[in-house]
Amino acid sequence: MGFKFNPLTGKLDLVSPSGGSSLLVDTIINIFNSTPEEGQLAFSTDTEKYYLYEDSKWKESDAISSERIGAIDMGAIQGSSLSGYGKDYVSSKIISNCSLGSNSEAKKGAIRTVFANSLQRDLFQIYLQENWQTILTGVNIQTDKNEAIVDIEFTDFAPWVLSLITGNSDSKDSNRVATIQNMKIDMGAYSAPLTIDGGTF
Amino acid sequence: MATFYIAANGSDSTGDGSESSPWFNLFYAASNSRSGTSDTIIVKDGTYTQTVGASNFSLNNRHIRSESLEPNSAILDFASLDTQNISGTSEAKIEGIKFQNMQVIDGNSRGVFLNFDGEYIKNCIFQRITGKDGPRGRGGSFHAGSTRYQSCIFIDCWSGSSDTNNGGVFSSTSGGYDFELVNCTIYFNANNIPAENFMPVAVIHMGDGGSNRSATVSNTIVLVDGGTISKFAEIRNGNGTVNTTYSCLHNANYTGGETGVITDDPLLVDSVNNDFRLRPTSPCIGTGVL
Repeated sequence: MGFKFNPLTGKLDLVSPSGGSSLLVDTIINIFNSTPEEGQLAFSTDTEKYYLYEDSKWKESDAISSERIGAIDMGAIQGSSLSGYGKDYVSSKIISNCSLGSNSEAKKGAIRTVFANSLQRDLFQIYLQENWQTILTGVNIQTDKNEAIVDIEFTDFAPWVLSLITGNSDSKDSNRVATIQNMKIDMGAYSAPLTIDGGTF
Repeated sequence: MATFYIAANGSDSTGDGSESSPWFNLFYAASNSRSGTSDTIIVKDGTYTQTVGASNFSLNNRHIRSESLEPNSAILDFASLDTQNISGTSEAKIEGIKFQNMQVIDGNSRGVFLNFDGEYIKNCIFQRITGKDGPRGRGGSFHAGSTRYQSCIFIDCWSGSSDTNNGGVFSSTSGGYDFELVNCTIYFNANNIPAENFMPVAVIHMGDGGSNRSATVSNTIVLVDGGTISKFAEIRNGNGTVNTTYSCLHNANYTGGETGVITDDPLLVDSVNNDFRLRPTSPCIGTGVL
């Protein structure tokens, strides 16, 4: 039995078993050195690929056989691909040299890139908590020299600027410690420096 | 508006107030900042024993600030000079300077600072700012005025009066105005203050003049120590109102009741030696109001 490529349908047609064209299983060298009939199908044990002898030459298929690594499904219909592919999922694969486009599937875990007209910039988003959440990119830290007391801020990722120090780093106490730290404020003119407690370095 | 400078190595006679040729005395600079009443006067770091005092002097809208804004970096010592009735108008600002030994010597002023109605006084230290017991009486170190005192330290400031109705650090009588204290530390070492000058009303007295002025005090520490602490500080409403919240009044004459006010020891590092930082176990850490 063998197969022959049908250029009209773009598919392989089953070839009559006459001529004894059963599946040839051998090394790639032996396959290429053989002289099969037209439509001969072969499987290479070293490349683990399929070959079709057509128009007096061997043609290699991209189809790859993979080991079935999972358990079978319950029920009569075995819908899961056990090689990491399914009609609605890809599992345990590495995606390389790809780019992310738009996505209208608003469901948990969906990701997309989108252009925000209001910000005039591209955003990277993930759908969580029933909303498209923007993942911050391009965060920079700058020293703001325009204020009377120079401080350090996060900026350039959105229309907002956030002080690096939690609270208000622009208002200093008499000992130059931020008056508001960690959203709390001390009494007196000398604020206590915020201490890190409970961790180990 | 223009910017002028004073420096410890400056000169009123040969300088021109520029950064390269600064003046020396603050009040000389304030009198001679020629381009207007909203000039900025920057005080270079250093300790100055001033030779020019001031009487009935208005800073108008000037902004006076130390160059580095670091604590104790710019210290103006007025020694025995007469300084009284120093006022300011709505945009006046004083920032990052330590003033010490200012006192009313002559005249009958009610205070060293009188009717200072500026935008703010912040990050300043005032040590031994003393009024005088004169015929007009009832003064304090800071009399009347409607400014905001932010993150300032007041050390051993007193009225100079023996009248128990007089104000101490702050007073506001019928001609006074509203003012605000935020994150200030007011400290008295009883050993440093003449007994007759440390009256029960040693912090704030809103006066008996009948004009219902109000002051607000928050995130502020008032502490009396030294000696046997036989004296105490007090915040007295008089005919006005002092709204004190989220503050620490220790060894003060305080009956309690206001929101967030505590009377515990604020646990300062070394108040007797003027180190007013908070110890790690201080009850004042994180207990102010935003």
